[in-house]
Amino acid sequence: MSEATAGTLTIRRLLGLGFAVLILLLILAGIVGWAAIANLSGEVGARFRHANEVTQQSARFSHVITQQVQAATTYLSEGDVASENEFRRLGLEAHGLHRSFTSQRSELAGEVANTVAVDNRLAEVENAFAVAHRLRDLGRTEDARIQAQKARQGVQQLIAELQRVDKANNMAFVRASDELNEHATKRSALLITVIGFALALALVIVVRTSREIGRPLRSLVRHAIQLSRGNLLNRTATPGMPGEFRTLAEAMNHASESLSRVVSGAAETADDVARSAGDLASASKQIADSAGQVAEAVGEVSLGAESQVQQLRKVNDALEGIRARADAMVAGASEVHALAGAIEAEAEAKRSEMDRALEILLEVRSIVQKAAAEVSGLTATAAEINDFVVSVSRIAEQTNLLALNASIEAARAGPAGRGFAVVATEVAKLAEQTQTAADDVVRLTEAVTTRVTTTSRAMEGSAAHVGEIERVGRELNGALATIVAAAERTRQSAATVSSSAQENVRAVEGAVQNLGSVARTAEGHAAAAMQVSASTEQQSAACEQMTSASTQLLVGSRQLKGLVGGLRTAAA
Amino acid sequence: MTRRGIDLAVDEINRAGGIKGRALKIVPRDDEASGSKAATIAQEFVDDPKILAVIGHVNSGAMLAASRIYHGQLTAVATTASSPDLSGASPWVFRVISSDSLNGVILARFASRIGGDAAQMKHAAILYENDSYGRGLADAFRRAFRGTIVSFDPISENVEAEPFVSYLKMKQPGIVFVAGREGSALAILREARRQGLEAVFIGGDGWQGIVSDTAAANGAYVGTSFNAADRKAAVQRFVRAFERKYRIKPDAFAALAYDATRLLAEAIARKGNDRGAIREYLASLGSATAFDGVSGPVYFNKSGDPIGMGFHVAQVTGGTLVSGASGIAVPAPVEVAAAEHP
Repeated sequence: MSEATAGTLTIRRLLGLGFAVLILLLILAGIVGWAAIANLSGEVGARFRHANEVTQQSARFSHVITQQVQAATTYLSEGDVASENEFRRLGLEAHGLHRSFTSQRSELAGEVANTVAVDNRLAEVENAFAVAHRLRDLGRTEDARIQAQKARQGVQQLIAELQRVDKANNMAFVRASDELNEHATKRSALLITVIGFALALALVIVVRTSREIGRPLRSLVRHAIQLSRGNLLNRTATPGMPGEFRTLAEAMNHASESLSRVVSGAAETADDVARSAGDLASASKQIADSAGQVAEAVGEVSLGAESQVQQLRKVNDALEGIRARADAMVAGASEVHALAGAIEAEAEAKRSEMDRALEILLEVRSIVQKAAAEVSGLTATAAEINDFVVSVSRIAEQTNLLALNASIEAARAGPAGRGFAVVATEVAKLAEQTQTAADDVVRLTEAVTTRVTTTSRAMEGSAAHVGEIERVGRELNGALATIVAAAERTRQSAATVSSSAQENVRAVEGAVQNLGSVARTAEGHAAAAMQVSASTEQQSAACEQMTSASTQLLVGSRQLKGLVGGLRTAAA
Repeated sequence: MTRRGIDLAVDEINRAGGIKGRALKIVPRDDEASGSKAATIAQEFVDDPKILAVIGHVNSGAMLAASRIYHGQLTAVATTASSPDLSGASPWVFRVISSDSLNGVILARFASRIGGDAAQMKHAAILYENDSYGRGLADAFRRAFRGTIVSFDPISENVEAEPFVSYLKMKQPGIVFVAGREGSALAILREARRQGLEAVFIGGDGWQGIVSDTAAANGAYVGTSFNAADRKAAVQRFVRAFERKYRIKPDAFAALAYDATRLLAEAIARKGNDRGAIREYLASLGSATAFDGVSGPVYFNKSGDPIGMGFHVAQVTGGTLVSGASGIAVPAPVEVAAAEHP
């Protein structure tokens, strides 16, 4: 197709080019028209403004001059100073207006000259009136009248001059207006020419295009009709056709050839297809069978996977139980640990108390021993006292013998010995009393000795008891120390048990998790197996469909072969 | 006198080798002091590419009319056109004489002082030629005079003086100020002499030519921007050269024309054949770069009026203008002006 458009004038290109030129021309016409109107309206505006200004200035100028002449005339007839001052003031104003004229108007020498002439004429009128005024002041009324007459003539000339300026302005305005008119006409003509050219071009494009399209279209239509009737041998001649039609004709020729080739090939192919369809049908049946077997096997796999999942769940539950018990063990170990700590503390306290008790016991024993020693000392003292009393008793017996001898001698000595007899009696008595006292002492000492012996024996028993107590205390102390050490060891063991139990818990938890994921995986496997089973079943069904399709294909290919036989082709 | 001033300057320039070897040429035209004529001539000058600048015009009304034509095209340096209306008329128009709005004030101050306290000298009559120059100068005088203005009359160039002089004789003003030129001035002075009018006559720079009538003009006061008796070497050299060439003393008209010519020759020498550059050069002159003219240093303000030139009052004594003869010379602080018939 691309080789057809290259180098050939296509209808599209022709139309595109034609319309582009047309649009350009119309845009050009629009721009020319717009510019002409804008330019024209600008010029018209400027001219009118200028004309308006000039007219206004002229009117003002004429008005001032009229008033001035009026004031001059009034002074001539009435001679009041106010009128003359007015005359002067208006004169200066008129000249001022003229000056602004000169500066605002066109710079053409002719126009400037016109306005200057007006100013000069005004000056002459003023001069004439000034002379007339002075003549009137001098009382020369006749001269003044003549001079005023001259001044009025000047006024007439001034008015004529003003009219000339206005006329010149009007003429200029008319000329300008004519020029504008001419410009407008020229621009209109140009515009019409451009539009006319555009229309002519459009006509040419339309005629040429319709001719270019009509001819080739008819031959293509003929070709298409032949094609529709099954005649694939018809061809259209392309030379001289425009680009698009040539492309279309070539495409149709090509299509005819291709169809021709395709149809002859199709008949052969239909046979092949029929054969292949038969093969395909049997192959797909085999596939369907084997797929059924696969589906069954996979179904079993799926069931196995499900029971595996159930077992895994049981194991999981068991592990959960273990973990709970391990938790309880951890708690128990912690209690034991705490208890052992308490026992240890208590035993330690008791041990220290026992130590103090033992110390007190030792003190008591030493005191008892000291007391026993003292008591032993008392026994010795009692023996000494007995010895002493024996001595005293002997003395008392001898004394008594002496007193008896004395009384025998006193009785011999008769009266002289009476006094002595009395003393002898008294000494006898004393010896007796001493004997009694000594007996008492012996008695008492014996009692004391008895008591001391008893006490000593009691003390010895006490000391033995104290020793027994000490021995028991020491044994108790040792037992307490053993308890403390045992509690310490218990505590350490409980801690070890607790941490081991915790580790167990963690391990069990990990095992539970792993087992969970294993279970999930197993579930996935079971599901997948079920899907595979289902897919295999579908495959089996598809194979069956394929088999039936192959059968249909076989039938279709036979029908096709029959149809192709009806077309006229190069092979036929 | 204007033409003589120009010719003397051109002679001097060309004798010294011209402008860069080329002779300076003058294209003379007479505008007859008419605005219409001046406008036509201006158009001719603008259209002629060989013309680089214009010396003139002389008359205020003519200059005013022509300035519209020169605008944007050609530089013109007016010599004696002194009307206030010309100030700022166009950036292409300059003048070497100061504005009458200033000159009128200087003349009015002189007039206000000349009679001391005498009552009669506090009354002034004003006559003015009814054109741009006369109106401008008279109006400036009227505003600045300290006394009574008894009359303010317009006259023409060739005035019939009798009714005005008779009127003045009736009114008896101490001072008569005339804003006009030689023609009307002599008519009035002669008629006054004839009628025996006793008054101090004062004129503007337009009156400089009246010295030709020794009898009628004697004693009259004239405003001028040039003093031939100035001892400055350049002035004396000019006066001597002028006298040698024309056998008469130069007046302000000649001096201003001489200055304008030499100023434009200088501009052309610096900027060449470029009308725009010549205008730029004149506009760029300042107090430091002022052109040294015989009537004073020349440079311009934004309205094209000169700055720094002198204007004073001289008295006609025995046929010549004597500056300071009356003991009153008014130094002008800023500007100067005059206008003349060619």
